[in-house]
Amino acid sequence: MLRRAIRSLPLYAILTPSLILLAIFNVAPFVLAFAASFFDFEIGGDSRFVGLANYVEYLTNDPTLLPSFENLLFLTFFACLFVTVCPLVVAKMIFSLKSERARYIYRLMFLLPVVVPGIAGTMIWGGLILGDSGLVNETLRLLGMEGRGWLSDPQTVLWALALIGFPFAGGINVLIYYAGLTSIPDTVHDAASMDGAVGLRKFLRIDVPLVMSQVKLLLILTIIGNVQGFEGLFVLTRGGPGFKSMVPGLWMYFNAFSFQRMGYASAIGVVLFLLILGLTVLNMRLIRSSEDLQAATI
Amino acid sequence: MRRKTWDKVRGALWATGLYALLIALAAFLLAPFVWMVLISVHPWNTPIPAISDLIPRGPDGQVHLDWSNYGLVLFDPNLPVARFLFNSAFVTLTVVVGQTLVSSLAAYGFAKLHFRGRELVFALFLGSMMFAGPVTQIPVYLLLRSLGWLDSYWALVVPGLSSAFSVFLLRQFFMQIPAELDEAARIDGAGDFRIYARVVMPLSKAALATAAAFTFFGVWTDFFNPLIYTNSVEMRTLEVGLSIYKNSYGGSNWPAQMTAAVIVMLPLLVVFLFVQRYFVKGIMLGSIK
Repeated sequence: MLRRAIRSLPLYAILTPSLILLAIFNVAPFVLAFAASFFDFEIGGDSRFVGLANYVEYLTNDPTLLPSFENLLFLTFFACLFVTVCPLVVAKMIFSLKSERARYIYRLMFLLPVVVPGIAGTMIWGGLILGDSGLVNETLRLLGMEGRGWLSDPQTVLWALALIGFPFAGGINVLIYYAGLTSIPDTVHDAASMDGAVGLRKFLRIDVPLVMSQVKLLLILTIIGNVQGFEGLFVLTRGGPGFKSMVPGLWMYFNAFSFQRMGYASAIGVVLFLLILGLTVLNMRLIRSSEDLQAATI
Repeated sequence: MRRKTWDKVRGALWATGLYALLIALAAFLLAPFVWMVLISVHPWNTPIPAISDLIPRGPDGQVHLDWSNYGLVLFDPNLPVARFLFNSAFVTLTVVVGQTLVSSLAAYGFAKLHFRGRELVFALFLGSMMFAGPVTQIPVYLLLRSLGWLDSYWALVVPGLSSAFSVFLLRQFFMQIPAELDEAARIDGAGDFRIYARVVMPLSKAALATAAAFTFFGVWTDFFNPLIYTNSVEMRTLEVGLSIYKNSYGGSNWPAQMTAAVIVMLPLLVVFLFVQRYFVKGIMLGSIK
């Protein structure tokens, strides 16, 4: 036992750089964030213990609370819908091509959009497509209709944001589904064909259940990305007009770095963390993995 | 007989439709690239061109591509774009090299160590990095501040050196390497470090390239960390610089903005073309599940 432990010492040593970095940049800040959320402080100024006051204020008396969570729910719902459906359909289409070469080329073409940097994407969508003299408005004017400020109009801003990224099939997601589809044994398809399943029915009954672990992964990543990522909103709308496109993460950022309310921002961060954790656990519970399904069906 | 012909026709129609749809979708996805590049060679300081004027023409009606925009952006007198480029390149390369080293070591450890509760420790390791994002942002900022690292390369490099995602990806791959290879090396007297350096790393080029590419993309396009951790213009990275560029030109100088965007994108495209073979393989091998 001891000898084995001694022999494993180099392996433990190998883990230390990673674990030290983890402790400094993930674990310690995590604890600090919880602690900070009980204080009222700004950088370089005094700090004052306020107990649960930050949480009470955020949860009962913050004008952004309701709209920001509604917006987050709206945007996350559509992101999840698009991210699970569109790349899967495209992956299946590529997968059913006959020529191996064509499959490879299409995989590559759909992967290529990963090279568009986030800010460039917001320039294209915010300016070239949805801007005042962008593609959508110019097309409408050509058809004799009025253009509008899609991102500045309170009635359209959320829909415009949700549709950014259309047709939602670029990048790595297609490849993740594709990998899932290739791992389905041919025998499963043959058996289904013999039972008379064809086309859409076969896709829904066979392929979709068997890529559930990929669906689960992408859902988790999309939810985390939407709760944490507010770069696009920061650049495109800054949460406006009014709080029409505010989300909690962006509000946390503004509180910390614009209003200098570090403690309050930490409390928002803790709430967001609990939200992500809860959603992930729920996701794991609700969607059974493909292994379970495979075990259940075979 | 007749039925067979009909089946054939139907199959051909189906295949044609499939190709047409895929081509249409791909065109939709790739159009913005072409659009960006074409706008970037329009005359300096012009608004968004109409679709019909997308290919820039001189007064004589000849096609006239204005590549001088790239020089004007890179050596902009008001913004040190060349410095942004250097910062991005330096930070990204340092993080990619450092993180690949740190993560591959950790992944090797997690793949080869056998102790009770290993999976739980690994899950906690991943979870702490994955979920702590929004909540740790502010304390990390305060930490870097108290270290005196704000507005320096330290702040841009050190927090990025460990990545749960890279460790996860590499560990999945390392675990697929047959144990016999290890044992053979061990019989030859090789220790863990030697096995890691001489057996595991050379066998894992696809996985390493995939992890490194993900890191490269992530760091090169990172927006919030450089935005928060730096404040002098000289320390900004390209991605943040691009947003400054966007704001300083508003909606007026589209060729300048698109030129800047292409400059940010170009290194990603080059890296992509170099690693795409590994990239596709690395993911296809089931590293992600």
